[in-house]
Amino acid sequence: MNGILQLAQTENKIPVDSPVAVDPAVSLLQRRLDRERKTRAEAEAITEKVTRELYEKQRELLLLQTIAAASNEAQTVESAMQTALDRVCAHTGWPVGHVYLASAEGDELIPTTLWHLEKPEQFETFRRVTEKTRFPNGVGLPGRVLAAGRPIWVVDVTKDDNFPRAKQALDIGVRAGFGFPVLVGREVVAVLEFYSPIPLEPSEPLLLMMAHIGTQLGRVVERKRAEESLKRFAAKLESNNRELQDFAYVASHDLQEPLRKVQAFGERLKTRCTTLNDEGRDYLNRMQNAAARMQVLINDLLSLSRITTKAQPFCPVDLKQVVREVLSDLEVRIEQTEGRIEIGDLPTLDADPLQMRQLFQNLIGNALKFHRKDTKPVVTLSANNLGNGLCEIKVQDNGIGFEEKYAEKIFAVFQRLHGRNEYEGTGVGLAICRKIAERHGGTITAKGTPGQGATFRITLPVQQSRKGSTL
Amino acid sequence: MKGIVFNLLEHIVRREHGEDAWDGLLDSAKLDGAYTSLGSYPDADLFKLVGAASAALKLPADTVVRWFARNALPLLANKYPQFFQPHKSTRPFLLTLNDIIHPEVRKIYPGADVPVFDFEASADDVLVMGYRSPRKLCAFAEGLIEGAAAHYGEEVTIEQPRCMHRGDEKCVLRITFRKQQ
Repeated sequence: MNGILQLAQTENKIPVDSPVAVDPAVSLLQRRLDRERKTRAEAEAITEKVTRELYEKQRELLLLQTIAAASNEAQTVESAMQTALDRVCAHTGWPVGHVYLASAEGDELIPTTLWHLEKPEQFETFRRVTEKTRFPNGVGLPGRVLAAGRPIWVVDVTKDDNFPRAKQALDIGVRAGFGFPVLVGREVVAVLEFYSPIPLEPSEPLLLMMAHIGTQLGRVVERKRAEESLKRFAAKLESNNRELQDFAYVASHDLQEPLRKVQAFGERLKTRCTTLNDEGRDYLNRMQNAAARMQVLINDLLSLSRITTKAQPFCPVDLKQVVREVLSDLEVRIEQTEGRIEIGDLPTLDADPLQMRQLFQNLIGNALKFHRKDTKPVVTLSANNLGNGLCEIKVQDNGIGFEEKYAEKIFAVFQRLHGRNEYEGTGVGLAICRKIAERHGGTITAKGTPGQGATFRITLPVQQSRKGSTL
Repeated sequence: MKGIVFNLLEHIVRREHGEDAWDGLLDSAKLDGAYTSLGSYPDADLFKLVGAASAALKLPADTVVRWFARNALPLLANKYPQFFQPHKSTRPFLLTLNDIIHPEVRKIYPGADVPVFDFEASADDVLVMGYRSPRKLCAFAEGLIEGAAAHYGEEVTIEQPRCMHRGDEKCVLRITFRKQQ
């Protein structure tokens, strides 16, 4: 025992207290060595510090990236908030995170059931009190974040005089806390709060990063708001549209009855009333012609509104067969005009059979009607597959054509380019064609050259979704 | 002041005057002399070392600083050739100080407090540089410019119509370049 002690003392003493005079050269070298050692230690400390900072930066970057990606992909605001809660807690190692939503007036925070809780049972009382408490502007940590519109840090909430939940915090071990706002522009739409079990001094870089996260989350809220307002707008538009269609249908339907009376009594006047003079008979004829024209207009309007109100479900339709039936209906007109119809290879596609028939009836009918006086009409029908599930059908004629500026106008209801005496019709045919194409999820466009002919291109999906479009 | 400056000074003193001279300077300046390039040290340390050298050599402090800078430049050119190679003469090299060289210095030496120069467009063989820094190290700038000129095989004359040491608000360095004969 003694020996060891003695040895230790001796070892200790020799270098320090040795009375032997040290060679100045050795002492100089020793000083240089010490200097180098100190320099190296300092360099290592710097390297360590920089490496640590780099690591921290990488973690921060990863956190921001993860939250940005989650915000982009989030289907709901809640899921984006939950990701933020979980990731921020993982990053800081803090066990408690919670979300408040701002009230519609923006003067109060309403607690949500969105939490990150490391040990739910430990923080149960805190959770219960929190979910029952609304924080007005400026009250508590969340209320202060709402008022300031920027992140706020509390070193120890149990010693803070503006923290209503201080008692629960003390009981369960909640100490430091910070909160940050979710901002849409300058509006605080939500506040996230986080708590640590020990008091901690504020970290400016952390708060700065939280401000960034708040902005990210704000974008999610903004996007969802825009989506919702778009949805509401679309729904309103659809309902307005439906009302208008119903109105058109009901109105034209109801107009038929009085018109039939006008026609019937006109007929009686003509056959039974022998006292009418020539002038009276002329008026009567003109009245009957007008009534007949009105009948046609009403019928056309009804067929237009029936495209949506009386639509049939889609089923496979062989367009070749449809065109054959149409040609049989138009037989007389083809003979009268000495027209020729050339039919290419037409496909079978999912469609409403009656509407397809109406579509080709109108297009071929028009092609025959608007032929040049001195030229026999030639109408060519062809189709080609555009890929991506679409098929284009082309109806081309050598008729009178039209000026390019009317290419859109001709599809509008009651739009006619010629006088009633030149060409019969109400100007509804092409409007019906467009409505049919659109109901099928397709399009119709026209191109014409005056005196040379017109070409109508209809693009239709080959297959329809099973539900069938209702437009 | 970044440690690299002290490292350069140590290197030059040891090379030109021997190991003992550096020890002697540290002793007279009462400094322990542990400087690592990335560390930051009080500006006063440099001035103490310059003062000690000035006393030992019986030369004005400015002359010591200028000598130090002139000798430091070849070491820098050797260590960071990428900043020197793109140029064929001193003038275009100096014009990259604010926008290229000093930003790079800040990347490698975070916290480096490098001065911003202002340049005055003048004749091809003249450049007027304004220098403003609480360190008032215009002599250091002069030495570096002379070193750079030597690097590019040029001779320069530097006049200082204005200098902070003479109570001016900033130093103005008027540099005239000449190709070496």
